[in-house]
Amino acid sequence: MNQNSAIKKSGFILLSVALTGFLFVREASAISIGVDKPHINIISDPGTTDSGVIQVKNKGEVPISVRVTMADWTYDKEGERVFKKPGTTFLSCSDWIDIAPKEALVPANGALDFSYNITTPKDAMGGHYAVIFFNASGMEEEDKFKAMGIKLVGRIGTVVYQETRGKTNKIGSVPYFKIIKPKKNEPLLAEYKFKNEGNAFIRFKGTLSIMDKDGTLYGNADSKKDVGTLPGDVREDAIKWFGSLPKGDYDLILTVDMGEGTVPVIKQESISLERDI
Amino acid sequence: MIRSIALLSIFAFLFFLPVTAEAIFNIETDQQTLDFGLMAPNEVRDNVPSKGVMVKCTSDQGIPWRLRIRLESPLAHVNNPSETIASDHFWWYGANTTGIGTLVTNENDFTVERIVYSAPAGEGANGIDVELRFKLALPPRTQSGDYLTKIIFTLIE
Repeated sequence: MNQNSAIKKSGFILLSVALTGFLFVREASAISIGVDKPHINIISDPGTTDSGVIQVKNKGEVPISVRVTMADWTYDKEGERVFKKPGTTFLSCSDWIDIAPKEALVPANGALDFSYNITTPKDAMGGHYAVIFFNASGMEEEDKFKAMGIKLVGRIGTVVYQETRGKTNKIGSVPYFKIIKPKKNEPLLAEYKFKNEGNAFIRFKGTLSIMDKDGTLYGNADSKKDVGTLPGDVREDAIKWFGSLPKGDYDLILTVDMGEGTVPVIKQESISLERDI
Repeated sequence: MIRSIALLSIFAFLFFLPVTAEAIFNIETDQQTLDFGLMAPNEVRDNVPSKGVMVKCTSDQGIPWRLRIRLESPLAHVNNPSETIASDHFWWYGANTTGIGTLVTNENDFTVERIVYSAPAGEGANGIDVELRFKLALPPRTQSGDYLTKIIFTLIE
């Protein structure tokens, strides 16, 4: 009768789990992985192939095994990336990307070039997206890791942004814009929503300009961050004005900039302040 | 005279030689494995490892980045992979950071990939340390033996 069957028969008495039989005497070494291209932006013609190199660096004292995987990505409601299986999203270009090698050893304090080809189909329209993951793990012997239990893996992503030349529209709208007057010591707040109405990724940033009825500019305030959107995404943002304003009537002009070569979206609201702020 | 001019030209060329700065986008863990030691069914072991797992993230890109964490698969028995410890019995939490971004410090299980640390634009050129600790609760009926999995730390813009 082996130990397991004895334990089963006697319930759970003395059952223990060796999650990790830590066999190493020495301290495990650090794992390090880096890339020279955290993102790739390409503007490509349909039916053509763009090529390049991503250098993967190992600044650590031990060699690492690097395995390449692909994924699609979208945004959740909070604007954080969500990774999905390659080729499963509408705007995926994962299947357009060929990278070599798929697996390789990167020596300690060394680097290795991974070559990629991105082939844009003839019928491509708008923008397409993917992420190339470089997964690094230590090169200790597998037998030892089998007893170790939980292995720590460093993964670094190169985000791919593709736009089809001549067939990309970057347009947006602001379906909601509201000014909230400040209470006591709070700032004046401009809330708005931006909708990506085009067929490509847009990074937007809002600026609020405050003018009186004579056209005198009292100041500008910006969004705290650039916000990324994919086609169809609606994202909320807010701009705070911490400055002072005498009581009176004002026009507040929101300008949403979408980057080079685009036409900004402009919205206007008026407010009347019954007291100085 | 001509030789002097030639040398000056070479020095001038070298001085003005365009230099392309390499992008720095790097992740480093201070250890390769996580050790919970021997555990009994129903046992909960927290604050592992006691000194934490240190993850160093470096970015000179000037734009926001994220450190994320996920489990490749549930902890699986080395000899019987169908025997697993559910990922909602395994937790992580941020213990400390040298950065000014947002560190998740409450306990989160490994059922989905989650963000550990959110860095604002411009942070990380000299590296940000994020310290994590882990907690594991063994279910009452756990087959004895070694269990394997991988914790994946992801650095991405």
